Amino acid sequence: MQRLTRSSARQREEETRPSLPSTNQNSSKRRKQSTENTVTATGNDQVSSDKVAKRTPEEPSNPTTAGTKPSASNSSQQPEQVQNQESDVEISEIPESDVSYFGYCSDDGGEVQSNSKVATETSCMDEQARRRQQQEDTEEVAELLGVENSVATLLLRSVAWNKEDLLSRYMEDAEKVCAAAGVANPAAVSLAMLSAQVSDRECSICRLDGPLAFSALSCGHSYCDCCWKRFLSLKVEEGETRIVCPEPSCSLQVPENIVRQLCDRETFEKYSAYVENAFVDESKTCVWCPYPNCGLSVGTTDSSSKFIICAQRHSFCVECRSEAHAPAQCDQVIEWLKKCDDDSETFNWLSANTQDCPKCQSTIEKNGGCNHMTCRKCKHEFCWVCLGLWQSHTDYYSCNRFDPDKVKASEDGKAKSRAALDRYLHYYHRYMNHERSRKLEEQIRDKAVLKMEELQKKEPQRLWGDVQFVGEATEKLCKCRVVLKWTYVFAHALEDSSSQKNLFCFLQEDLERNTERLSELLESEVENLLKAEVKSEVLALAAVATQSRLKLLQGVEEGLVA
Amino acid sequence: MSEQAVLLLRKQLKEVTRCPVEGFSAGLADDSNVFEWNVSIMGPPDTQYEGGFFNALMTFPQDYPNNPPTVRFTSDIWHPNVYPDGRVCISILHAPGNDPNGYEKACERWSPIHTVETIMLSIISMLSSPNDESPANIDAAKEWREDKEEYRRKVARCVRKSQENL
Repeated sequence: MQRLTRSSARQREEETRPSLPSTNQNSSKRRKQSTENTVTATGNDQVSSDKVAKRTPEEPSNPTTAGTKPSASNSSQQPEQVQNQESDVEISEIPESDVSYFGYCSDDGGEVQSNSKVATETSCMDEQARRRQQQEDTEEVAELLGVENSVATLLLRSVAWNKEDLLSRYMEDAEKVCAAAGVANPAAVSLAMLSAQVSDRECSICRLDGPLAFSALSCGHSYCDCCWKRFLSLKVEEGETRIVCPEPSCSLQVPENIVRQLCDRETFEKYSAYVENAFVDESKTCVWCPYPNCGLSVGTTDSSSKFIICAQRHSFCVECRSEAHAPAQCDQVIEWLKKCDDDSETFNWLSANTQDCPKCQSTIEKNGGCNHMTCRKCKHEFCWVCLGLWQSHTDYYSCNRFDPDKVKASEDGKAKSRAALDRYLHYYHRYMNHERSRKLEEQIRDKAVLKMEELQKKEPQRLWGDVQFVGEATEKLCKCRVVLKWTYVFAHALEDSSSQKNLFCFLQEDLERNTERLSELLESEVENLLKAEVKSEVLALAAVATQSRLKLLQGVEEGLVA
Repeated sequence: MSEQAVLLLRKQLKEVTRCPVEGFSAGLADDSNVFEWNVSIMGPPDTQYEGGFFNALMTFPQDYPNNPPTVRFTSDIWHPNVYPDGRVCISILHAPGNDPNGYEKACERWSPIHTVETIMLSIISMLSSPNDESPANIDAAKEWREDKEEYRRKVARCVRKSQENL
């Protein structure tokens, strides 16, 4: 199934490629951008527009994404959003494809590669595309096995919608497959309700005497239609998507068409919605986007790609369901987030409010104004301020004098736990700081757009596309920030003063420096940004920062060997 | 909905009184209320419960048979699958949808096709073979597993008590 999907995706990609530039133009028109702008951009931009033609399998592999839900919902919201989104699509892919052209051809499809695949190979499957795929698979199986669609659905669901797996298993042992799916075998026997018969006998559920209309699955357990309806409605109400025959010893599943036949429309619609959601839950080829209130499903047709993007541009890790976290590993992320949840507040408080006893290194909280501390554990008496012996404060007062030797001695004697705490806080503060920076920087683009609207009112000759590059650069900046944030988690897990760590810190430093430079420049006033020389500097810096980011990811990918 | 339940319960009551099933007897707790039944169960032969006559109250919901009745022993009974307050905990009496983890097999769960008779047979079978995997009375389950002698003594006490109350 995977293979099929991928190749068909590729095929579609091939087909749509030539038409891409025009798609591009369309979208440019939509954002009121003059076409001149894209063409007469700086060198950097030209590279990008070249690459634009080569990338975006996202759109082709999934034509519905463009036209259906996401854009529809967006356009109803606010035009800026649409613009943002589209520019996102345009720019985000560029650096990655750049890189895949020179040098990311290593065979081990790990972090970096998968990261670059984020943009190039992950298809975003929205509700409609999902439904269509479901429909296609069902129809194909139904035709191949000569069964009804609703039976094909049951069979597919029993194997997590892995069509190829189902077919090969079915050829091997049809009986086993049918039993597991709760389907009568041979499947040639129609699973449709045995024709409704009106009979005088008693219904074994309601025990009413006939004449009643009876129905049964092919197992022959027949009940009156009223009881069926009540039974099915109750099951649907409970959110059950695998309804089995009421007879306790029978394991036949009720196919969808029977639910449609016997229940009212509302109930059936509810049932279909549950079944559709179950498709995502059961299928191994798509997942729910974990972002709050997103609710989109995303296809993971490329299983080597760990980080994927939903149609709303949320990027996440398929494995641990958190934010895309390169270069950190899933286990590092899980451990880190847990540690942050558990410890951060405590640690912050500890570092602000406690000292370690200079003798036994237990952590001590000051519980009064007096600076004369007595360690409860070892009874050591010392001064809270200078950590020196309290005795020295009575016999010979030296607390106010700065003694470098003493400071050094007290530092040497610091407890390991305090050192570990400081180490953790070092990484934690930087991690949080990059997260905060990113949140602020995400607004740069919006601010630039607002400012531009103001400027346009005053100077109508200004063109919308003049601030386009700000959005693109901001996107790159945010990507760097995310990576930077996770580098601190990665670094926290690396052994100190190892050669890997040295190299890593070097790469990190490089990325951090370039990111900060870009950030600083982008935060200047829009009037400044509109100057040609500033614009080219922004573009150059964005490219440099992206380079650093990819170099770092690649370095980690290659095991941090110099 | 409840009209159907009334009809169905009346019918089942008639059947149970006309041709009684070995091992239990059943009747309405209050003649004006068809939703509450008194049942008495004979301790199954060749088990520790043999000789006992255990009374229980069976309460049907208004939407019976879509949902199962509850069964609560009014006699003292010491059993891993009976809560200390007398409520019987067996899978077929669990309201549908109460088992999201799929722990119970479909055939072991409530289905509208169950009747008073099938429920009573399940309870009798529960008395003969306790299930200590998901116990309602943890102490009883522990004893049943680890201290058979004490378990037997407690059950014998319940049996005696039930005979005295006859």
